[in-house]
Amino acid sequence: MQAYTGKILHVDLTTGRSKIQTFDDAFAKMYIGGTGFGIKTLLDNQKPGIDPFDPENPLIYALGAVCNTMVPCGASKFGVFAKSPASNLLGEAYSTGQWGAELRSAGYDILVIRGKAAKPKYIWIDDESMQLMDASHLWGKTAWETEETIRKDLGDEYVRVSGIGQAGENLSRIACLINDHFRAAGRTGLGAVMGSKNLKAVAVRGTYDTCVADVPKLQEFCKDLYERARGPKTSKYRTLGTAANVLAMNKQGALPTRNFQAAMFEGAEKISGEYLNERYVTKIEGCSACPMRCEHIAVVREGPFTGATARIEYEPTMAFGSNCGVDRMDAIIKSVELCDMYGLDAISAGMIIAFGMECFERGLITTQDTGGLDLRFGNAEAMVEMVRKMAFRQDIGKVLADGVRPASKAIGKGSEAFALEIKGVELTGYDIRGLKTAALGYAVSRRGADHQRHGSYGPDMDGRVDRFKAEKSRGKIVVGDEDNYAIFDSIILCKFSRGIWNGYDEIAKIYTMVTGIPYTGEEMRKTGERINNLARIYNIREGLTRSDDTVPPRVMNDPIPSGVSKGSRVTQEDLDILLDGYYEARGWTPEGVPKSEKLKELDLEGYESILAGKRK
Amino acid sequence: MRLIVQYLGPIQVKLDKKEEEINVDQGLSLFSLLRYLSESYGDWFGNEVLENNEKHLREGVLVTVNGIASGQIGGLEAKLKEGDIVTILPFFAGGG
Repeated sequence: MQAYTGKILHVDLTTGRSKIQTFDDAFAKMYIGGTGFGIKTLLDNQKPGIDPFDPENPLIYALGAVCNTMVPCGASKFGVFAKSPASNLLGEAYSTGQWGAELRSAGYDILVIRGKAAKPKYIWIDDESMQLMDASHLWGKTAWETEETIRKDLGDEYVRVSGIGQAGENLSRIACLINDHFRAAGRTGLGAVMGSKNLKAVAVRGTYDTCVADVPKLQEFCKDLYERARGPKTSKYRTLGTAANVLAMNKQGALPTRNFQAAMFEGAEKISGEYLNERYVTKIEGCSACPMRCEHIAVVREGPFTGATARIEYEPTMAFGSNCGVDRMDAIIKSVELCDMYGLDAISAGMIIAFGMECFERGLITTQDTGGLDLRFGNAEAMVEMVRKMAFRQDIGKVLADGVRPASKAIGKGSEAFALEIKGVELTGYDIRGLKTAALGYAVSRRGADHQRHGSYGPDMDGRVDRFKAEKSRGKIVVGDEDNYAIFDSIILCKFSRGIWNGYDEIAKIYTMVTGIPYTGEEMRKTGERINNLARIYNIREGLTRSDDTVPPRVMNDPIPSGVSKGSRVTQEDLDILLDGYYEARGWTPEGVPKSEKLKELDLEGYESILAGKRK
Repeated sequence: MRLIVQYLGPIQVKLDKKEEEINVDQGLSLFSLLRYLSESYGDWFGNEVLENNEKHLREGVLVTVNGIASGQIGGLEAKLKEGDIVTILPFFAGGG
């Protein structure tokens, strides 16, 4: 096989030892890379039921199959996997930039980190060499300072670093991993897993080429793909960027506002993509070998947050903007900058602060709890300061730092009613009360509240279905979307490029050109299905049941109060219809457990023993 | 009949206009409205919104009528009524 290195590097932080395990074509073909590799490796290497902060919880980096090749929109992507401290289920996050390509250049496709160092360390991978370096001088530094210091210490500005800031050191369950300054493996708290190991970062430098199977065919194909990736189907990313979603979502009554108390925000214009580009964007950058170039880098040039610099996308704009009732783009940029520095999931951080704001306005917490902050909706300065407090676990930040689920348990007084989370992971930027297909996708998403494992807001928003209605047939739609995205997350292809690909057949073609491994479109589809079932097996093993496939109480009980989606919510009856349709489409039992015939169909019979006792 | 047409995203930037009120024939279809706007602003408008200027929205473009996506109300054949608010906006682009 080509492109793959075929090597898994295992590092044990307790003993300081490492070993290399190899894999073959058969493994590559079954699981492809990225999410397939990550979930399989986690399932097979993690003791069932352990605590996410147990040293034996493996932290796994898995590269996409086309990493470090000429394939546009896929050249540097990687996934990170572990048992999540946020959900106690599958932890899964993706990033891009340049780090992934460097790991493959160094000679590895998967990195598995176990154990716990006696003192702070960072892993330094320099081609075949792996060393555990002293990180005591890095502990307490931001993720950015860590990257700069490591490069200086190693005397090489081309070293790529994936690491944590103070939030990960403080085991915040929403801590993330930052690489290449502006990029994050954001969700599900994997930065805290790294921190629990006394591990500060993984630094990589690689010098080997990645060879592909069919250079002339791949070149030809990539030329065409390159033009498509620079064409009209992706122009929205280069022009206003994803922040253009703000006004679009607002128009359709789907923009989360004030902790999902509403779905339209009166200040939307001032946090829109149009406003951002006009006043704050200084340049647009791209990932390694990507022609789409979507990164809108924004700088604040005046006011109390002068100098704040961040890559701005829709989700954190929603999380720190409309959902906190804040109509100040400068405060949003500053908040995202702090998240990048301290290593916090920007989506979760904004969502949690919004929860804190509602608690404050309801009198459930006071200025005594907030360290004097007037934490009302719309108070931009308080919002920014609360990001800091969460990173350093100060005042109520100590409780908020772990997410809305534990925070609502700690605060109590009925706050669970407005804790917007699924499986312990905070919701993202779609008000699913008026998007019933998306609501199903969120409810069943393998890593908790998430739009990225399915993208099923698409049929709702473009009118292919009646978005206000729950139907059993949505199950098939979400299954198709999930299986498609599992392939995107395995190859790994940027989802911004999803509009330029012509189905599974084309993805299979490029996979074969890169790796030399024959693959058909139908095999690709089946692999996507396999990966989703593998994730389900893992989650069931760690305790998931049908009751976890749900939506938050607010989504069920509080209808959207106004606008085009007025009156919408997801009732229990809606949820039951949607779940029944989904489980049936998946070939699972009514309790959401894959049937044995489905396991056999997907060559996963080896895991039957995990599920046998769970079927009724 | 009187319609309000709203523009979001790149089209708003190109037109340098967020919204306008127009008067058109009673019972006009959504497609006919888009063709009318294309004739007013030039071919680029039609190319921006329609796939090959045919009765199909270009990928990445959404048109809503009173907040509801055109796909849900009969597509571009949908007939407009007095006072309808038609919004031409970029399709949702993920992000984050």
